[in-house]
Amino acid sequence: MSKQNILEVEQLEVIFKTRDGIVQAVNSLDFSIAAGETLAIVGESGSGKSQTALAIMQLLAKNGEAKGMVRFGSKNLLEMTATEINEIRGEHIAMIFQDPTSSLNPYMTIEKQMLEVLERHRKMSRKEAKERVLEMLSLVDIPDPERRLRQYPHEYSGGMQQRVLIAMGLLCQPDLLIADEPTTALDVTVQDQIKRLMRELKEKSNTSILLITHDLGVVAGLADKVMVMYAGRMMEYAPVDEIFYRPRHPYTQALLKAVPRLDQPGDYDLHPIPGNPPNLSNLPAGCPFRGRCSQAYDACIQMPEVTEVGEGHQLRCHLGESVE
Amino acid sequence: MLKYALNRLAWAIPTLLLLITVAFFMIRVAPGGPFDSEKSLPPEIEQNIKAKYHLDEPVIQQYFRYLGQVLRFDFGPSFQYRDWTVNQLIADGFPVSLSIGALAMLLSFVLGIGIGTMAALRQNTGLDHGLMGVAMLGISIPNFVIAPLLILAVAINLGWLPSGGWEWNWRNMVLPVITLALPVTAYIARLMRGSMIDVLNSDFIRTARAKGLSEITVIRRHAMKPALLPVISYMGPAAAGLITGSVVIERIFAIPGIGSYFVQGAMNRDYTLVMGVVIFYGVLIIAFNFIVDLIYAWLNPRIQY
Amino acid sequence: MSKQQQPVDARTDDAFAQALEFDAVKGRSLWDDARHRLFKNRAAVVSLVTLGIIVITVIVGPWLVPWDADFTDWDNIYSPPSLSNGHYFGTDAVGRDLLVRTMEGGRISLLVGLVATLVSLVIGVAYGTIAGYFGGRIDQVMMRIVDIFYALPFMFFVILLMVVFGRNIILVFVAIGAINWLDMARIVRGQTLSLKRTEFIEAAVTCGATPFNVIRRHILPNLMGVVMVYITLTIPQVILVESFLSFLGLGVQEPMTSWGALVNDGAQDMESAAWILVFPAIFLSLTLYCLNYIGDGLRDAIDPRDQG
Repeated sequence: MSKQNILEVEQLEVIFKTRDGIVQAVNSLDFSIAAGETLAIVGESGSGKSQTALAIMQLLAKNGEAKGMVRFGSKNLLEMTATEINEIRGEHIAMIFQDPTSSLNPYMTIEKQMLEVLERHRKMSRKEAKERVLEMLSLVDIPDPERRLRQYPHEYSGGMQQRVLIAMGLLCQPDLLIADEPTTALDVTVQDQIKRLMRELKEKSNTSILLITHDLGVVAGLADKVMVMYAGRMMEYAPVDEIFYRPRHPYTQALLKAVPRLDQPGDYDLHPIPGNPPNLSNLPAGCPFRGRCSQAYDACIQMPEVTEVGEGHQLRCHLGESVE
Repeated sequence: MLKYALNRLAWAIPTLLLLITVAFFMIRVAPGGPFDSEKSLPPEIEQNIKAKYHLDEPVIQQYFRYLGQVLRFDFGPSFQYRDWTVNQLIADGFPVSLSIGALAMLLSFVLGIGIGTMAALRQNTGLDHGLMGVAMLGISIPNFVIAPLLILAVAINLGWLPSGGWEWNWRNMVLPVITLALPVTAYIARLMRGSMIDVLNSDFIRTARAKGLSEITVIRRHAMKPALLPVISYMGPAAAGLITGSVVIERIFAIPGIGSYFVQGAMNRDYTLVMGVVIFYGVLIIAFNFIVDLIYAWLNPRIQY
Repeated sequence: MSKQQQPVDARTDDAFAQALEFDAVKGRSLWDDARHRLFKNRAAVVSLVTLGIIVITVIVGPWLVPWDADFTDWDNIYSPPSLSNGHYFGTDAVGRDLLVRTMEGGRISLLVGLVATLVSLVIGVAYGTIAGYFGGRIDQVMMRIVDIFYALPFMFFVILLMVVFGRNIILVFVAIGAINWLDMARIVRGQTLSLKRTEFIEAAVTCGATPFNVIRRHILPNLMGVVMVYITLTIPQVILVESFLSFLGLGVQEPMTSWGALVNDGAQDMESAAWILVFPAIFLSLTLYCLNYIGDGLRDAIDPRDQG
């Protein structure tokens, strides 16, 4: 990687103190994102992918705590004071969320909600700010933005709301956009529109994207690198083509078999992964996936180390080790 | 908005009618009249009195007569205070009751919202538990227990304030207003805490935080309004509660408000007075609820007109 | 109150979802779970114990005290609390023992609380399930009626009732119960509406069960949780209303007494004989305090996401 990394995450840990004890949602996670690059974190719910995103922004729930290093510029985001992180949020790192309907304030007009980002981070006249807002709304294909600005979120459809949130995130031209399941809560047809929009935006701007998703279909057209997470740990981390064409981890392979693919014959069978994601507050020893893994063997009692199995291709699996 | 207001207003009318009707017939089916106690009235005098109060007419006729009167805001003469009309008694007592009630309302909303917000922002800390414990006390200890205790402590032992009676000055208002406001304050504090916590955990607050807004701005601009909505809805019941409470407070502090007349009337079977007060307060509560509905609709863009 | 962890949004918080699933895996039933949470709530447990002690004292106590509630001890009128003359709570203006009167008054207050709550329960549940189950027009009209009732100054109607029909205790039960069913009806209706959309109810309906049977066999049992919460929250309200009436002299009448009536007596003489006020006031307030905390605890235990 010759390009400069804008975000480097080292040994990230996220824990939650719950009624039933301490839950480790993210465990010794390492990754980085280069300028203009898109990293997708993929995993089932409970894999810790969303908590990773929230930890970067210091937006964890009150009972959550993040440790480790999240280097952005020269500083560790996790050690920033409230004032410092607020300079980063919205200005350098923006975030969009899973459910657009509940993510917009239902009691404020879209105009106010968008303008306040510029008010906070940019010294602009009101007129300039409004022009910028209109420009962004046109960019995300909101028709008749002048009129739309005066409306409240409930007057928008779900897809439109997500467009507004994307436009809102891009207002200050952030270095990094974190998109947490941006399409999950939307109708399938609308999902496609949002995917296409994000692809366009990625081409137009030099913004890096951290894409959190469980949908490999979103990953395909958008991501440069993919990290597969399971039970709070990185399982496989590789360039997107490697993941799709040379997946090494049984979990990644299982994930790929569980999605419908257009490049396969019509009667292609879908294989859902048997069983459920493990319970984080009571993880079995060894590889967390071994209970559901079709290729598990005795070695899996031990937690596998991360090994380099190819150009920028990391793997946490005993199978990888034995193949070498 | 106008359509919404008219719709709400249209609902107030049957409510009002129901109120008057129930009150009227409840009194009419009552065994024993107001003059029962004064036994052995000569029949012709009793006849005269009955005629004076139209008690000799058929009930339906009396009902419509009364309805007509009420629509002209005339509650008729008091049975007990023979020289007074119910209107005069209400006009006499209302300014007193209103000033105490309005002050208590103001106090309880300002304090309740403040305390509730504070507790929510310090959720699960000692401060939160302390404030909510006190609020629970405020809800649990009845007015009529707190009032005598306050009188005992502040008025009798310390001698700082009068123990009762009425003059138009603040010294006579402090204790009644505080006592009256206490349970409502406590309730609002709990309500506000709950709704503030709910709102602060909602997704759109996370969005606001992700914009880089300071916590104060997030609360002031994004959280306050939605958190206030349940409190606004509670204004109607709060008003009813304050009116009910005032009956006790006015009695304990010997304040000549409507509540005092009401209790007197209730003891003496002064039907016209009791009915007049019930209807008057009913109208007041209905009107107040109407205004609260409008405020709520104005604050909440999702209400459909 | 001591609400433990709750700032977690289950929908977005994977960890919390996991924690919940964890419980399910261990095979705890909903009720075990609720009981577990309730007993973890210190305030609720302390309240439960305190209330238990009060209830037992009030029920058993009068048989253990050597005085009758209406026995006049002429030698000890206005006696302050004293160990030597056997009036541990003192006596009132006519020499009656306050300890036994406080306990007797407690019997009445608690009885009113229970019976009137049952009245409101029966009305509220019947009304709410019917409105919720049949839905549509019926529901609309029925809920509009509730709205109208909400706007009426009910306390005044109760006073009116007491004035009109005289002050007897049965009427107190009915009157107070009749004004407290509105909340219950609303809650029950909401629950019924959402239950009706569940698959097991739909299945029952498809199998040809009559509405009455569906309500009795499938809906009512599932209302238990909310109903229990509202019972515990209604009892203190009802006790409060009764004591309010008695305080005004419109509730229970001599020789019967209740905490409200006792407080009223005490307030008359508080300058010279504060104990007459203080003991019943403490019992009344403590009971209400405990009931409110138990209600809160139950609500948190049954629906931990509700902040109340």
